[in-house]
Amino acid sequence: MCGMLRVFLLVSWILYTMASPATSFAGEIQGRVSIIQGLTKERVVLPTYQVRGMSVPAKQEEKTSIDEFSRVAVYLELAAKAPAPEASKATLAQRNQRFEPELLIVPVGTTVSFPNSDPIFHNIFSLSKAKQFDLGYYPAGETRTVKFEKAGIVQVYCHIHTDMNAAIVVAPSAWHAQPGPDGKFVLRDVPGGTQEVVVWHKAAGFIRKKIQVPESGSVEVSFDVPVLEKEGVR
Amino acid sequence: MKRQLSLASRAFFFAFVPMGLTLGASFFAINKAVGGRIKGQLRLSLQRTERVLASRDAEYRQRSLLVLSAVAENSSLKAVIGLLREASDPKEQAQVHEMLADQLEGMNESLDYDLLLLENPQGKPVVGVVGASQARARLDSEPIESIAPDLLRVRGVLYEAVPVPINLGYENLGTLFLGKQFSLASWSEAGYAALWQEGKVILTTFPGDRREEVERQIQQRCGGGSEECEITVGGESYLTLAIQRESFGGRVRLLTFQSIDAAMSGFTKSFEGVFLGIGAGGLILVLLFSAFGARSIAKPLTKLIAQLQRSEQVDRFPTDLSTDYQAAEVNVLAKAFSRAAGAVRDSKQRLDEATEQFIETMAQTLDARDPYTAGHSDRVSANSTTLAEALGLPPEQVEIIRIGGKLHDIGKIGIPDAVLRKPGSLTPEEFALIKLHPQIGKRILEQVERFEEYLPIVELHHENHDGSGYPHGLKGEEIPFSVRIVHVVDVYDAITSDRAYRKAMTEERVWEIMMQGAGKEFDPAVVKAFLAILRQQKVLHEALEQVSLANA
Repeated sequence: MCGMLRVFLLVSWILYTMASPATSFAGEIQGRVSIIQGLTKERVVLPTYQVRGMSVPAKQEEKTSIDEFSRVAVYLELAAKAPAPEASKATLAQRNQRFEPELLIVPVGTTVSFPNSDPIFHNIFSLSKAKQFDLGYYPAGETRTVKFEKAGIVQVYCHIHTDMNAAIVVAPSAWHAQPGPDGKFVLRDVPGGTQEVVVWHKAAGFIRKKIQVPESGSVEVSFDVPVLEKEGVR
Repeated sequence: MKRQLSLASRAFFFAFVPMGLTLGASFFAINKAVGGRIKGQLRLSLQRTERVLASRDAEYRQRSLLVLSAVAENSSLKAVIGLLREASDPKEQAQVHEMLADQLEGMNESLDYDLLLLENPQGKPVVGVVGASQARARLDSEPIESIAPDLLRVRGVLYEAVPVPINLGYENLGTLFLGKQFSLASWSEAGYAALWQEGKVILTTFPGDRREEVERQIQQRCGGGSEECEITVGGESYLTLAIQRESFGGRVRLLTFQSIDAAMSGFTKSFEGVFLGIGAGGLILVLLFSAFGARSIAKPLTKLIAQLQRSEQVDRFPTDLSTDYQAAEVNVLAKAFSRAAGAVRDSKQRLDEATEQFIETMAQTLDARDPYTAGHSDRVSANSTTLAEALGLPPEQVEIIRIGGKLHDIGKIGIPDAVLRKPGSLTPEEFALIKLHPQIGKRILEQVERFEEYLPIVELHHENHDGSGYPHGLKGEEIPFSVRIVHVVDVYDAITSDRAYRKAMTEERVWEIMMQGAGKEFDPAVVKAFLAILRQQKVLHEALEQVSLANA
């Protein structure tokens, strides 16, 4: 049974590689992300710094209003040569001492501009391996641009405002998505064959799954993302 | 015999002992009371000091926390922590950890803490640096023991840490613990200090060999370390105070031990000096007053007693005691004694008079029976007295001789008249009867106790010096001296007076008999003295006669 499957897979792969990429058969990945919460409730109830009375007031309302799905990035780790994503543009604005949006997913080669919409200076920088940069101080109305040529996670901070933080997920291809409010996402025109779907969440980290994408039609995949009420390192 | 205390000692004892005891007791009580008060004050001041220290400490911690929170608001630190989110394999993680450690050390250059520890929000240590600035080392997988919320033990060293939360927006990235090596030194400046955790001393400045003793005492006396109490370690008492310290939570207590003895010693020393001075002075004063008082009370009595003793020596009942003793009671006593002594003397005199009269009566009774011997007893008595005085006998002896002389022939009462009043010679039988009279006299007088001292004269006045007398034939020194005197005088009177059986002898004959009797009938010395008296009397008599003749 297993051997039969393997033979079938091999055959499919040969057929797939023989087929021209331009006229590829394309399948669809229909995914669903579930957020699982409350892994470390105990700690959450009584964090040390709250006992001290020194903590930054927990922004309870804001937290509940946040759509956790909007903080999840989905992309395909290409197993085979994929069409190079077109050079595109994206924007990560700074407004009200926050980044907008806080999660940006772009394909490799994208140029992201960082316009300062606040009436104060910002100084955007990143230490991430995928792209290290420091845009320096610049005032309201000005912008700086960074071109991301390497896939990976780029976390962005502001030197002046220590609470500002955003993540740019530089996907290796144009197949990327963000789940909707219902946790569903769709990746269309995915080349058939074995594909690795990656889900990244700030706190939960990477979750990878390999799936078999049919030449036509769709395949379903679901991810459980464990998110702590208080997110933290790792 | 039971030893009797003198009046002065008694007065001294009862004056001094209660006063001394009262003084001592009040000294002790005051000492105790003042000691207790000092202790109370000391305790209050210690408590105040501890409170001030504790609140200052809390304030310092609060300020540290504020400062350190500001320091932790560091984008670079947060960015490095954020890198852990991108790290997809252990190698990358290790690199990030290295970066974090560098970052922490960089931060610490200005802060100079002994322990830096970053924990993730789950409370798991991520990276740590330990040690003083010279010898810092990375913490690897060593256990980090959490003694209390902010008290950590790493590599056997206690660190007191300030936990600084690191937040990114509303997210918590972890907690940074900035720790200083915990030291009890600042708490034990004036004594000792200890950390107490659930029945155990986990750190103390007491010497190691005292630790168990301290532990035991705290368990027994301090309600398991939660209450203020007093313990005694190595013979010294300490006031134990539990310091309120937030960072230790509920399980660990900081106890300080202040030596009460040491704190009190300075004060007590000066205080005791003053009190001992006052006490000793008071005691001496009491001693002097007691001694003086006792003397003053006893003095009049002592004086009275001395006077009585003097009177005793001269054998006289004092009826004229002085009444100037400076003490009313003693004066009254002396007066009463004088009156009583007077009464006794009077009654004794009356008794003596009665006795005298009785003796006189008895002598006269005899004289009445025998006219020939009338006046004999009186003459013997008078002459014997003269002789005894001349021989230098003591007055008592003379008095015995005087009365004995009156009574010496009383036994003749028991001799029949026929014999006693017979004129002419007596037959041997009659003479034998006569010879019984000394013993009869003795038997008569024996009945009266008072006459006992006259018995020898009555019984033995016919004994001769050479042992030829009767009734016992005693001789020489066997016969009492008083009897020898009466014997000489008796014989003299007998031969110089008329008797029923013969006439009185001539003077020459009398002298001759008396001279011849010396050494035979009489004691020679006594006869000699008697004859000397007679000669004197004769010379005197003749001189008087010539004077009266001349006058006539």
